[in-house]
Amino acid sequence: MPLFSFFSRKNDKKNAPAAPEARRKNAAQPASPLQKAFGEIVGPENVHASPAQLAVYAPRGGVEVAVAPANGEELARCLEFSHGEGFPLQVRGAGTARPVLGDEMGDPASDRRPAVLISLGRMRRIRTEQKCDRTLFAEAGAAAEDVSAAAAKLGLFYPPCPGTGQSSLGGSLALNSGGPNALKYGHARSYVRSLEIFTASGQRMTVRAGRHDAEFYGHGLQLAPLLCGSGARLAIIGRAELALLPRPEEDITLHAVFDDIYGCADAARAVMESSLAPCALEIMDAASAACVFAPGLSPNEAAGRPCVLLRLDGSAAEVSASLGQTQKILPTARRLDPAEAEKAWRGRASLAAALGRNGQPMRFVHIESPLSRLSSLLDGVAEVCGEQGVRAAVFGHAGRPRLHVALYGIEGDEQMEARVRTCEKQLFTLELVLRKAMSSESEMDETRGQWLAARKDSPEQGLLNGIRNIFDPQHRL
Amino acid sequence: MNICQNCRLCVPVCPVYAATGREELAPPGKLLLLHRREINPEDLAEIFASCAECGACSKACPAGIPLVREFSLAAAENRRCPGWPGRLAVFVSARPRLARLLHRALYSAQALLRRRGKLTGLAPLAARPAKAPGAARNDAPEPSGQENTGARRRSDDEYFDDRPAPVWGRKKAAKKAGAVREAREKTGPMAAKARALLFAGCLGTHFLPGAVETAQAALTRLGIEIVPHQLACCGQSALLGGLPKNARAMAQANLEMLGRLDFDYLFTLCPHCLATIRQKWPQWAPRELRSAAGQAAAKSADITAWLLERLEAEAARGATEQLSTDQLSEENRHPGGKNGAGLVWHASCHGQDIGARLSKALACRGIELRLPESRACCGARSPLRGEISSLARNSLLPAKPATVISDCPFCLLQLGKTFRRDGVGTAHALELLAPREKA
Repeated sequence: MPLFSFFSRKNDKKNAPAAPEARRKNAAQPASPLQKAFGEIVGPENVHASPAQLAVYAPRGGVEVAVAPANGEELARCLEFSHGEGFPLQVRGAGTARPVLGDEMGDPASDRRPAVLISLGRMRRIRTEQKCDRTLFAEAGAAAEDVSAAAAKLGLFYPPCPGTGQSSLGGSLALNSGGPNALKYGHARSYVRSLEIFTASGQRMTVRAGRHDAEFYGHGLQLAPLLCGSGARLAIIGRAELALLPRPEEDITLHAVFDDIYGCADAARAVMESSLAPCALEIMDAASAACVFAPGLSPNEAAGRPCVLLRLDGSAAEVSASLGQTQKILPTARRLDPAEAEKAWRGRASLAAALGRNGQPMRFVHIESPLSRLSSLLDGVAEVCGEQGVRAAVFGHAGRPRLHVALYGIEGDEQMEARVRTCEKQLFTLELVLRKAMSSESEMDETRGQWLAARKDSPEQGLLNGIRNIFDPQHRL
Repeated sequence: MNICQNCRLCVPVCPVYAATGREELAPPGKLLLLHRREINPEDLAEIFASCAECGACSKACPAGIPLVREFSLAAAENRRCPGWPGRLAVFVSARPRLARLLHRALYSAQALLRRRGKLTGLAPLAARPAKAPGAARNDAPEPSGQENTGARRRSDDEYFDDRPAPVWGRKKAAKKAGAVREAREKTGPMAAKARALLFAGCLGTHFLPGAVETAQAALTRLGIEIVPHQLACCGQSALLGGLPKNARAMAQANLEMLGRLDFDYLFTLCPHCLATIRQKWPQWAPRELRSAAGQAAAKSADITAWLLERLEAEAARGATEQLSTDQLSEENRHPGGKNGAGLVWHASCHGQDIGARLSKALACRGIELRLPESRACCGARSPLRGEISSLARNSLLPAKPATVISDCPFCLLQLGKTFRRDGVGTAHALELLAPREKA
């Protein structure tokens, strides 16, 4: 073993290879006045400005310095300083989100000068109250998984379960995500009691969403629900007070396999036509199922076949009644034991990443449609991908259909990449035909940009822009 | 187009990120920097070298991206040549006899400095290095060596036949080695005397000679003949020191000697050495030594895991008592004393399933080996080992350890340093599994 690696000198200039151009260019610079100023607020170790650090914090560039405040006070001071200096701002939670709609919309702020990136990764404290209060306070950088775990410690339940659990609470609130449980429990917005927000100028305020919190002349007009899902375009969420639910007494998962994905779509439709209220209803095609169920989840013959995953929860009596009803609708469904179920849901949560197991690069397209048109949507996906000769994997939420389509390219093959881009455009057109609206999850491209630009002068956009102008008149966020 | 979808499942398991909280040192950050040529190579060298190479990120990655391999390749690419201390160390490690001679001198110097309070950082050398395996016979061959390693050349060794190296590859070698072993073992428990090489590694020889002797004694008690040898360092010290050519040369010198030996097992005490033998040697071997590398890889085994397997197999046959007391050990000589008080397991990166198995096996003997709730890397491979190992300390302290047990000498060295102030000792798992007999 490397006993002697302890002795190897770290900085032996004599033996170091000749400095290439890049080294001279990027040689450590003394801290700039900007770094010093932020360093006084958050500590110099939490100001990141080296090219390597910026490449990680902001892979798409356009950032001069990344700052990681530890609490609300530091965040407010950073924002005040940036506002005074006229810097545009970028906000980063855990960094799990794909590049979102934003600068491509033609924000003047993004064209002006490099931004200050505010990383909320250090603001991850979670405070729980008494169990009877059914409340939890968490800072924006807390991982969704940690929030759920803190609630579970109290014997309570925080239903939104976005992505793999590593996404930050601030990010999931800003994008109003919900995960598979959203079918029964709704999205993150439904669980917010109050938010501590910071405007681009550093003003700190607490906005409420409780049903009986009168903030305006009457009930109902509240700011917190507006902030959830705003994509941090109005203000930065620093801390949230979340409502928790009692933990369901029982929670079971059923797994039904079909010959093709259309069978899954029919099954989902049958479930939603019945009086059942499943907690989650997911469908996946053969390629996706192979990633979730292989290796090791019995029965092995189910691995690699299109399937439906159905979760039922509630009191023992409710679950038992629902189970009976489900077995009539889906006679082939098999109840997974708790260990299998946990594995299956973990696999489902990390499915988007697991689809890269074959080493082929991929791009995701997210499409929504009404359940009644799910079969047409699946037809369309098959047709578009078949025409372009692009391999695809499809999975998603079937209750209120939101499909995630992974389009595979080939490393270094530009023609294939162009075909994947064409697929993306055609799938977006398909979504517009089926739903007349665009999913916010997809990466922005030319077609989507044109569609948004065409709607720029609509009264709805005017109203939304007006709201934004009130919160952030200089469009710094 | 990307394979990594930023799920960040690799982040919570990364010990370097846990210790530093620096995004550029977390696996997704390093992955982003892999192909960024515009960034200062010195910065990249520091970033990639920070990896503890524990492999937790690769295991956690749902896409199966070989993150550790990518990072270690990038680290090797960006690593600078070491200064003269590193070169000298590699020079010595290629010469086992010289290393043994120097050991005594260094031990005296270290003891003197330590008495004067001037040496606090380095791990203490053992009072004497482990005896060369089978040294009593004094007929151990020496590596023929290559000129640039400085290893001594020894032509036509009279002790070993010069039969040409077989041409079969690694898979065939594995098959044949297995068949030979099976044939030998079929005739009775070690009736035909299996022959084993015990590869102690640098750390085993100079820091854990007790564990080496324990392993030798256990193998002898099991009726396995220990083949004398003079194998030098596996080459990983040179590789990590930024001298890949020397690493190859060390491996080749070892392989030349192994090609002449007749053995059934190549046991190692250190999982890192085992990984080098299995993964690197076949890659490094020139054409004429490929079969020897294939054989070495096929016959190599971690001594702790192997003894544990035997113990489990015997237990399955209902012969636990016989093996554990008569063959392997004499009771109460293990580090925890009679009841194994305060024994806590630290899982090394390579042997993560061993803890639970060892605990189960020891429970039969009434010894309690506590397994901590969460695994924490000791960071021995990372330059940030100080920060990382303090997290490991925090995770182990709630279990109130008197002795920390692990199967990796490198971990033990690091943990020994970390726990010195707490008065907690360290011991190799072998000393629990096959404690030495009373003198």
